[in-house]
Amino acid sequence: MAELFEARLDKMFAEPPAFEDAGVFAGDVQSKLNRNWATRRLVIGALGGIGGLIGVGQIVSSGVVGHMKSLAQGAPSLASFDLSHWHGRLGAGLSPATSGAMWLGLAAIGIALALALSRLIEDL
Amino acid sequence: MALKSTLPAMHDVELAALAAGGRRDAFGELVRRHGSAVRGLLRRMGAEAATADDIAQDAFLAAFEQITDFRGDGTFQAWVKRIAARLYVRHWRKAAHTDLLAETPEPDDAPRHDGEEGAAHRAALRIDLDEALRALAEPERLCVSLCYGGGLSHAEAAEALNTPLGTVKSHVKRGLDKLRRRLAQPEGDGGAERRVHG
Repeated sequence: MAELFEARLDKMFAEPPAFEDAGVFAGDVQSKLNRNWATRRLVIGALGGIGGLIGVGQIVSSGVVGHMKSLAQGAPSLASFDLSHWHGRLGAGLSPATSGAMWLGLAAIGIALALALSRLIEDL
Repeated sequence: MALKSTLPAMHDVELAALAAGGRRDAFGELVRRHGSAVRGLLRRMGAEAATADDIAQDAFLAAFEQITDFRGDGTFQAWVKRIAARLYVRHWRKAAHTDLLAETPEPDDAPRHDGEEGAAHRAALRIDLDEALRALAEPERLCVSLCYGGGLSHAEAAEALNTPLGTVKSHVKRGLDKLRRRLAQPEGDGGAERRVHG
C-alpha cells in the first residue's frame, strides 16, 4: 500500500505544472547565459590584452630584439631582408627595440584576429 | 556541428554534450524542456512565484557551469531538480526558517475536496498535489518535496537542511500521512520509509 502511494506521489511530482510564461522564462535564462558568456569573453580578452602589453613591455625592456638582430646580422636571410626593408618604411624614427616590439605586437594582433574569426565561424 | 533546427529532436544527453562544448543554444533547448518542472518543484517546496523563478534561473545557470558533471546516469531533469532543491534549501535556511524544523505544528486536516481522485487525469493530479501540499506544515512540505520532487534521500535532505536525520524522517512520515488522507488514497501502513539512494 505504502509503495503504491509513493509511486502515485512520484508520478504526481513528475507531472510539471503548466506555465503560460514558459517561453519567457527560457528566454530569460538564455539571455543571462549569453550575457555571462559575453562578460567572460570580455574579461578574458581584457586580461589577455593586459598580459600582452606586459609581455611586450618585458621584451622591449630586456633588449632581446636588439640581441636577436645582432645575431641575425651574421646570417642574412630573406626574412631579415624583409624586416629591414619594412623597418625602413614603417619603423622610421623608432629605436630597433621599439620597432621589434611593434612587429611582435602586430603578429599577436594577427593571431588574435585569426582566433576571433575562427570562433565567429564556429558560432555561426 | 548540429544545426539549431535539429536541437528539438535531440535527446537530453546529446544536448548536454553539446552544451558542454559551449553550445548555449543546446542548453537553451534543455531549459525550454525542463524549465516548468524545476519552477513547479520550487513552488511545491513552498517558494513564492518570483523567488521560485529566480532560484530556477540560478539553478539552470549553475547547471550550465557544471554541465560536464552530468554523465547521463540519471535524467537531466532529475539532475537539475536536485541542484534547484539544494539552492532553495540554502535560500530557505538564510531566511532563518531553520527553527521551524524543530516544531511540529498541526495544520487543519479537514479535506478540501472529495470524489475527484478517481478521475486521475494529468491536470487533476497536479491540482490535487498542489492543493494537498499547501495544507502541510512548512517543514513537512519542504521535506516531502525534497525527497519526492527533488529526488534527495532522507540523509541528503537532512544534510542539506542541517537537521538530524530522524527529524527529516518524522516530517516526511507526517507529511505522507496527511497527503495520503487528503488525496483519498486507501489507508496503508505508516509508509514513511523512503528509498535511500546514496
